[in-house]
Amino acid sequence: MAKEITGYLKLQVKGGQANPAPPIGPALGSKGVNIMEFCKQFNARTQDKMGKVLPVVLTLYSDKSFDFIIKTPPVVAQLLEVTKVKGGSSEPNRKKVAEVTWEQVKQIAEAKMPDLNCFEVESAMRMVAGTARSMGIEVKGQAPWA
Amino acid sequence: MSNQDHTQVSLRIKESILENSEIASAFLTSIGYVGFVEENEKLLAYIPVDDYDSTALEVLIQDLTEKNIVEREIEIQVIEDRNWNEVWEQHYFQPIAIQDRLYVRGSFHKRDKSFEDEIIIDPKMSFGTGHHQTTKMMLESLLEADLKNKSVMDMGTGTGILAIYAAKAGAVDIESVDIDDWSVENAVENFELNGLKDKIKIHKGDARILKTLNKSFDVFIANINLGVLIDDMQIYCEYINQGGELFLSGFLQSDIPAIKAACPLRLADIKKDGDWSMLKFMKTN
Repeated sequence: MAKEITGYLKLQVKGGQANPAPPIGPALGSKGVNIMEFCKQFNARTQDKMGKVLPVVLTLYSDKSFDFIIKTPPVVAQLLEVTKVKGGSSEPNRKKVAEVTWEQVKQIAEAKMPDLNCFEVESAMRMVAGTARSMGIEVKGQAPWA
Repeated sequence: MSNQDHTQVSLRIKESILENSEIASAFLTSIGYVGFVEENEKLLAYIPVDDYDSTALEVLIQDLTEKNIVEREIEIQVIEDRNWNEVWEQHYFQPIAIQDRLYVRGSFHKRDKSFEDEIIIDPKMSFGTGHHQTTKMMLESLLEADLKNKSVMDMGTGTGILAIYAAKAGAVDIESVDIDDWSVENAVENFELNGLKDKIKIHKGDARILKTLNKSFDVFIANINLGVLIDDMQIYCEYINQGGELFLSGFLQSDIPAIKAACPLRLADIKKDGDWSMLKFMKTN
């Protein structure tokens, strides 16, 4: 018989560095989930993304067991990491806060492909470039398809 | 790092669209926030209290409000450190049998006299109750080993469960290390619960502690994670006696090649359980 699902939780936690402190402690502890087991599993599965903030969606079951899916880091977070921008431009259309290259846009797009509804890297790149512009980040040079 | 208070900032995301929550959390990460909980249109952001900077937060919220990403009003609250795992530990932690020989239970569970040996663990937010496959495999492997009169190092001891087993199996000179204050405290409590307070020494720190102890060990145990094991492998191996054994776990089966490549000792055994694995190495000439 399938286990009964009691809820879902969406967290963002640093890869390889989950510990029982907030947000994991308060979010999972009150649900009766064994926090230490989640941390061990999460850290083992994210060793290659050490220190990157990763979205994780947990499914909680009535027997206090759980499953989780780790997503790729949000595009915005990846753009901020690449450009080293802290905070954003309050006037994204007028004030440029940073620049990225099309090569960097491609790298972010490729990393994000598993979570996007895109089958072509070009469509994913267009989405990433759009997000960058809305944040005041200019994409330098000509698009590879232009 | 786990035992510290955190500041919780509660933000209301405008127009509950996924992207706004991701934008807000990405910008908060850029000013030091370490983790988030997303609940519908609410975003809870956490930062250690010592790192909290009200001016930086104010500037960012102003910016995100102007961009129409979050509402202007936020709620700030200090979340004091406590045992977040208490609900599981008190209500869902069940005793567990290892190979029908060893019984691991909490101090609040009844003893089961049908087992030759038992370990009492009150975990208090530390890792190591015997329920996780890695702890189970380590205990199984140690049950097969001869620990009588051996010196033992348990690196990353957590609850102290593996060091406690070593003491019960006749090891004589046992040291343990953990990087987390909370685990050091908890391990000492568990040593005491098992009547072994004077038999196991504990140090707060990491593999670098070995350089200060000025001795090496017959049996070296480490159930941590891939990154730490690979980074510290050379130090571990340096402090193992000739003919000594190294028991490693805390990594997935897919990580076995990486562990084998990092360890210069002779591979003696592999155990697998679910996604997890455990490797035993021997230090031979």
